Amino acid sequence: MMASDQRRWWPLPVVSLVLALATIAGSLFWTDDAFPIAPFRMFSYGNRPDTVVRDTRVEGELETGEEIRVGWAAVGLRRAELEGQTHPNRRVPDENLEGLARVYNERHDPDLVHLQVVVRRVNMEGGKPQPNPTFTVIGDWAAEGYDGERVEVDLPLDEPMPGYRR
Amino acid sequence: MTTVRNWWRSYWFEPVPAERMAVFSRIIHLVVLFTVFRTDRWVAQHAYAPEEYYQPVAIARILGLPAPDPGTMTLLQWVIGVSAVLAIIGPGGRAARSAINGVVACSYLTWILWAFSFAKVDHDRLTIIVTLFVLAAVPGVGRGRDALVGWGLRTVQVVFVLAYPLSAIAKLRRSGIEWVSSAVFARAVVRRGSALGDWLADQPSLLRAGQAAFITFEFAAVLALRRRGRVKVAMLVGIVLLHLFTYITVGIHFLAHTICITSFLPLERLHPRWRADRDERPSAGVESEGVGDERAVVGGVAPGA
Repeated sequence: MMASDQRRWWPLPVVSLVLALATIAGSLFWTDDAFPIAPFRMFSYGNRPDTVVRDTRVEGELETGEEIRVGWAAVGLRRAELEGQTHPNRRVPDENLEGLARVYNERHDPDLVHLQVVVRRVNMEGGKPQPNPTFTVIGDWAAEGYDGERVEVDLPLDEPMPGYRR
Repeated sequence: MTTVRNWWRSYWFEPVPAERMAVFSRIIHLVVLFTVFRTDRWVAQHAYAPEEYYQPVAIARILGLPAPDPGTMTLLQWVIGVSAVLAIIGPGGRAARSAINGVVACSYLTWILWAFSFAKVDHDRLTIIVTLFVLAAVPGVGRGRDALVGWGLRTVQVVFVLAYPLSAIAKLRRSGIEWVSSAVFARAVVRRGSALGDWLADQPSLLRAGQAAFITFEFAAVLALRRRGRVKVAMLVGIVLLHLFTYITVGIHFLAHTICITSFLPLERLHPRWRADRDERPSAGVESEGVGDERAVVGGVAPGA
């Protein structure tokens, strides 16, 4: 490489350095909102060994009476995305539930007439998962005229999740 | 001062065969196609997500990027698909290649912004985004050693490696040193499950030891940024093993990030023209370079093909 080329290209390593420093700053001070220079915080939450591990699922009842597990692709979301917008120990706002049923029914037949967001809770002791998980309904939506069994979700509605600013 | 300047220049402008970048470019664009049309199909499903779940990240807000719908998402997939195929097989000089790679970079960035604007960000994608923009700036045309190619690959390597110590920092920032003794691995296994993971879940002490080793290695991985040497090679092997462990236990492959480790390899050996040139040289075979190898610079910056 000619010395003149090095002089001409001096901004390139500076660009790389600025990018690296911005990524480091993102990790130290910023949040997911700053993606792609956000903190690398996947698996950064170290839950206590004696705690509850939750995961969320969507279940539904079709107008034929058949009960189904609603796949995530069917509602256009990933599990972590629904969880990220819904505190797992609180109820899912009704308007968000209606949206899940709406997008499912737009692309599937027969229609859903009843939809529930269910949290599976696994107790941990000393970091070891215990048997017999429990299930809690945190959201219950039904179409007009639905006369099946419903779950009264009376958990207090928490403040909205702070989203990417958390 | 001169020593620092020389080190700075030799670190960022180490001449590397342009053929290495050409092969690297094809690998990356193949992975773009594979992720968009295979492993990341959940992104396309966002076109059908309830709009009230759309929470654009800052860049998407600044760009005024609206929520995807089936039409715009399909259009984007076509743009990525066609431009990535052209980037792999298309002929063309430096300007044409840069333009094509630029289209891939911008369209893939849009894809990623739509992917992560629903309240879940997969941070590993920074590496491939940077890589695609590097490929737009340095498309790897021409032949022989090229210092600009060296800059491009070094930039990819730096971003790739930084992901590990910065992941460790994110863990300490959010959870403190207690992260090491937490049940984070057990939680991941319970939520994602796998045969090996389920077995490990019953061995909490082993998992905690694994967490200590994991975060220690993440900090140590910065040694992979050395220019050469056995420590660098050991760190790169360790990174591969780390991802293998993650994939086997919780099924996460981080493919778009992990594939960028190929930027450390002497990929030019896969390039027919480089092999032909090598066979024609009198000292055939002695100038190949790989991870940790240092050779004299031969040739200069080649003109665009």
